[in-house]
Amino acid sequence: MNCSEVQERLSGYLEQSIDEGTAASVESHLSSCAGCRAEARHLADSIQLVSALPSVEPPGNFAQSVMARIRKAEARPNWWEWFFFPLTIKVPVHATALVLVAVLAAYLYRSERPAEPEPPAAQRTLNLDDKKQESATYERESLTSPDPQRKGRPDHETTPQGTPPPPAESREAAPESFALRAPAAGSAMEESSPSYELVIRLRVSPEQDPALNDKLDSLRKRAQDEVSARRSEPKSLARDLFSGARTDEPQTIWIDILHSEYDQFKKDLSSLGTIESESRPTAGTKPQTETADRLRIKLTLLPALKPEAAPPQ
Amino acid sequence: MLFEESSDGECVRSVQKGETDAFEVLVTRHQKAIFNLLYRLLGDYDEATEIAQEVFFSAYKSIRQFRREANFSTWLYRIAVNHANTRRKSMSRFRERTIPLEAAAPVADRRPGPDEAAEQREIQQTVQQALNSLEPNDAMIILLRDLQDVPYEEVARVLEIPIGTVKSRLHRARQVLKSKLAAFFYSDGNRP
Repeated sequence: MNCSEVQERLSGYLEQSIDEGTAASVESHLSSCAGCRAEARHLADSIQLVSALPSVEPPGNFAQSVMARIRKAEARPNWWEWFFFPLTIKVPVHATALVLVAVLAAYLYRSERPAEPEPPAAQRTLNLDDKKQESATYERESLTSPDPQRKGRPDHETTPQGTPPPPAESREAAPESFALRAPAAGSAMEESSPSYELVIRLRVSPEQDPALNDKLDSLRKRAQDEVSARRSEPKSLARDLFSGARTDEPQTIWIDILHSEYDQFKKDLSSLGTIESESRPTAGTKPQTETADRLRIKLTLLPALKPEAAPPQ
Repeated sequence: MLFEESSDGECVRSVQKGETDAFEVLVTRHQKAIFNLLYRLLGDYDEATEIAQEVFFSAYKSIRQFRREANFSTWLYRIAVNHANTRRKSMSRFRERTIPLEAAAPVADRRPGPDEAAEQREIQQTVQQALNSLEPNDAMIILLRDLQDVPYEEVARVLEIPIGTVKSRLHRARQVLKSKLAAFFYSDGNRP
């Protein structure tokens, strides 16, 4: 065996934990190798120095300290016992807390939910001349789309002239061409109501009577001018409202006139056709739109009837 | 019931059944070995006391996991090794510590003379410093085998390595310790 091999086996040799043959080989080498003998001696001394370290006594009350800590830990309830016992107290308390948390969560959830959108406002015709309406927003319905919220019978089937018409709510939606969506809820426009409602059945179709067409244009222009003068809407909008109206469908025009002009206004209308109904929807109460000197007229123009469909007298 | 005459296995069975008093017997029986191992590993009396208490407390808390076919001392040593390694990592500049041997109360077979006592203290302090400078695993295996005289098979179970690995690691650790001690003891030709 060489020195390296011997030194690898020195620990076993010193502890007498190697086989006899290996031990004999190591011993034979050591007898002739001073260097390995020195290594063996130093290794033995190191092992002896460690084993000779004095044994140290732990503190006198070591065992008692350990047991005291153990018994203290056992006396302390574990989390399960701490949380649920005694049952008669803990369970109701926890149940109540749970209910309160659930109620609070539901309350917070409901308060933070975005407000449900307002249902589409009822379609109404609007007073385009009202100053209060300048800030309102509205949309123009399709000229060809029927009024989905139309209530009651069509205007041309209302009672003859002089007979109080049905409530305004059932007739407001009749003029389909110019029916506009009501503005935002709560605005002044939404609550405006005409001083008078007049329903005119045109004598003939404006295409058949140029004079009648001229009068209608004049009437529309007057309404349009009043809109342009009193409101901030561009004139093109007013023009859009009145242009392109089909003459075979009811039309509604809102006009503001002086009190003193009302009778003459009716006479002028009679030249267009037959006043089928005249009503004051807010009879007994002054509408918001009526001032000391002006009236708001809701004028509904019904298309001329075909000869075979003439209304009964 | 008296547990002092019961074996480790019987005491463990009693503790597992809920008889806490039986554990005190186990503490009393193994406290010195565990304490000395920790003392020599950590180099501080108070540290060794604290960690030794932690070792026994941990053993009690996990007593139900102990398999009675194993050796209780082996299991206890393993807990002590884990705690000591954790503690030693957290101790800064551990390898430069000098153990205050005056604080310890060694059990001596005879009372040496003043000069001899001083010389012995110096030798022990030197050896302790050399142990402190070793890698934790090298110090552990040397203390288990050379200080505690734990059999190779048990050392293998404590460290959870094969016996052959125990022997080779032990030999290498001893060589390192020898080199450190040789510089002190053999530089001027003196022998310890």
